[in-house]
Order: sequence, then C-alpha cells, then structure tokens
Amino acid sequence: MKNKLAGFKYLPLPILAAALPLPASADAVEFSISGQVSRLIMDVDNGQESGLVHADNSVSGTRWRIAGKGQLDKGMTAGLLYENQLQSNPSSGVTAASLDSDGGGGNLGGGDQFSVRFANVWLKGDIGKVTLGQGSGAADGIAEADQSGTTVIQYVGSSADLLGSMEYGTSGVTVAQARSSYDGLGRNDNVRYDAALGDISVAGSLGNGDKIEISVTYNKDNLQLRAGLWDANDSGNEASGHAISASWINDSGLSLTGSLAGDDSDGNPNNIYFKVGYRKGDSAYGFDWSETRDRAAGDASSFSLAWVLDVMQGIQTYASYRVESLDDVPGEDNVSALVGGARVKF
Amino acid sequence: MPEGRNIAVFKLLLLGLLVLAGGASCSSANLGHLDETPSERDDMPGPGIFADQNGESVLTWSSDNEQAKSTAAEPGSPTLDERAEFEQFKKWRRLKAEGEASAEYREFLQWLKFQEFKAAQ
Repeated sequence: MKNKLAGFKYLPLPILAAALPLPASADAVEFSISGQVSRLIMDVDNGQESGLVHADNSVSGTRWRIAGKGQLDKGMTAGLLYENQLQSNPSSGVTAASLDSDGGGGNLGGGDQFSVRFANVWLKGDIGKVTLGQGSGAADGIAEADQSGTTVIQYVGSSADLLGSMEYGTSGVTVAQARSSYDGLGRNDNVRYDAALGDISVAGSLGNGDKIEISVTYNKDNLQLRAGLWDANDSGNEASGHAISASWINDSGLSLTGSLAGDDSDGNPNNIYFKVGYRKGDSAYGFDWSETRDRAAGDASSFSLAWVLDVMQGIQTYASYRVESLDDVPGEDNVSALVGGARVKF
Repeated sequence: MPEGRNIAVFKLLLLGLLVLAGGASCSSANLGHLDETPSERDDMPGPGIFADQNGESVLTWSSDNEQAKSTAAEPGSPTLDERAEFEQFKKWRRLKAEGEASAEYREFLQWLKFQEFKAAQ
C-alpha cells in the first residue's frame, strides 16, 4: 500500500508552494478566545437498567478555542486554530452499568475527557486555502448537511454521541457498535486544500497512515449538498467509504434533510438518515429516523423528536426523546432517552 | 471496487484539484467564494454571551484597536439615525453568521471604517 502512494503524498507540497506564494508581512493581527459549555440531563432506559444522568453533550461538547489571523500582502490571510474539548462525563460514555452508581465526583460513565480537536495553521488567498495540522479531513462533515436548527441534540450522528456506550438490553451490543453515520475520517493530522469554483467548494486532504479524503459541497440559497470519498489506507479499519447528504429549507421554515453513507469494511455497512424539521421564530423542531445496516450483529435503527429554543444571544436550550432499536440479536431491547439540556456560547 | 482502483481514483481527483490550484495561481484567477460557514452543531450561530452591543466579542484582541480608537467619532459627531443604524446592525449580524470570510462581509467592514473616518472629519 505504501509503495502505491510513495511519491504521490509529497506531490501537493511543491504545487501548493507554487500556488500560494508567501507574502512579505502582516498588516493587522487578531486573536480571539471563544467556546461553549454544553450540558444535559438524560433519563435513560435500556430495558434492564434505568436512571437519570448528568452528562456533557457529546453532540457538541464543552470546548474552548483560540483563533488568530493576520491580513497579509496580496490579499492573503494567514491564521491558526487551536481547540480543546474538555468534558465531564461525556454522554457518549454513559453505560448501563453506571446508571446504578452514584456518579460521585462526576465520574459516572465516561469520567473526565480531554481531547485536542484542532491544532493547525492555515494560509488563504484568492485561489484557495491550505491548512496544515490537526483538523477536519476533507470528508469530515460530508454526511451532516442539516438546516433544521436542531443539530445541537439531533443530527445524523446523535445515536453514538448521546448513547454510544449503552447496551441494547443484554445483547452485548452497544449503540456505538451498531450505529455510525460514516462521516469521513473525522479530524486527523493532515494537510488539506480547499478551493471554490463559483458556489461549489472542493477539498482534498492527506493524513497520517496515508488517509486520503476528497469532498465537494454546494451551499446556496436554501440548499446544501455535500458528497465525499475517502480511503483510510493504513489507518483505522483500512476501509474506503463514501457519503452524500442534502438539506433543503423553504421560506416558511420547513426543512428536509437526508444522508446516505457507508464503507467497504466487513459486510459493507451503510447508514441512511432522514429528517423533517420546522423553524419558527426562536424555536426549531425536528423528527428524524435512521438505520445502520450490517455494521454489527443485527441492523440498528432509531427515531427521535427534538425541540431547540434560542433563549437569547449565545444561549440555547433543548428537549428531545430518542429510541434506539436493534434487530435479530438475542437479549436485545430498546434504549430510550428523554433529554434536556443547554448550550452557552462565549 | 478493487482497492487499487480506489487509490487511482483518489489520486486522479486530488491531482485535478492541485492542477486547478496551480493553474489558477499562474493566471491570478479568483476561483470563487470559499464557503467556511461552520456547522450549527459545531458552533452556535451569532455572537456569544460576552459580545458587546456591536456583536464583537470582548475576548478578542486586535492590533487594529489603537488605530480604531484614534479614528473613533468624537462626541456629537454626525451619525446615522437610529433606524438606519439598526438596519445596518441586522445586516452585519446576518453577514457575520453567513460567513465571516465572504467578500461582502469584508466590504461591509470597510464601509464601517469609512463611516468612522467620515465621522471623525
């Protein structure tokens, strides 16, 4: 595998160097600190255990970032982005067994989790943007086009983010083992190039382990379209995959969202997602359904209802009800959750 | 699809992107507006709770600050009427939410600086 890519992985550097001649100096520099605190309470039941848990919402976790940019000569901009996620008891780590515990010290389920989401530098000009470091691969987010306004608690990847470590009854299968949105290769260390052709944006990235990702997005007026391909090569499950998603919203606030994605790992698993949303005033409502096939023993599906309210500048609250199901596995039972929470941006 | 063919397709597509970038560089072409609007899931739209009345975060440092102070309007300088200011503020919020890097937003910031300059005359 490495031999096939030998030479090619170094190709972008000289071309990009020629494409983006370095300017001489920065006229103005700006740094900002921002982030969010994102907490929820869930009443969870998997048919065997049930309980109320406090958790950090892993759909969009508690995090902070520092972003800097400077205007350079020739209309170019250079910058950096560093972002940490710091979660106390992430929702994705809440287990059925831990529902019986007292959760002393906030260590119920996942405990305290720290991760680096972004650590990269970038250079942008009229002909595109080059990003180097830890960040989204070109196909990250490709399965997630969504204009419903409920994504803080309800999107194509919510099943694993909210209930990933919960077991379906006594099946021995957890939600994250059975569900995935197949949204590219996520964030990884890579060099990435983005360019725009009119209203179409294209991106490509090369990461460690010879990860290759490519994507095309279209975002104009009321329509979002995204498509991407990736090959993990020598990293992870070494699978290659594909994803396409679309979201449309009309002037009345009604939105339709869909996603179809999968990879070529054992069984050729895939995921299909559909959502109907409605935005009115400060509120957004959504109903979604999805199914992941051939990822684990048995196919798994879910549906959820969600309401998100923009309380005031920088503050969202939400409520949601979700049911996760697994078919054809002995001991399986539904996992359900009634969720309420808030996200505060600073 | 065989793995070897997958890699060939990826190589071809990525090479196409890079050749496109190189060609555009030679012709100094502007390929279009790069859409960098963050997803609502990753980053809630609009300013945060510490933002000031203009929607700017107080947690921002800019090397332009001193210059901005020196060109700020003196008390009593001519300003837009309140309704016009409100309309401009709404436009600013919309543009910022839609894409900070957009050409329209950059032009609008230039317009604001021009207003400050005029008020200081």
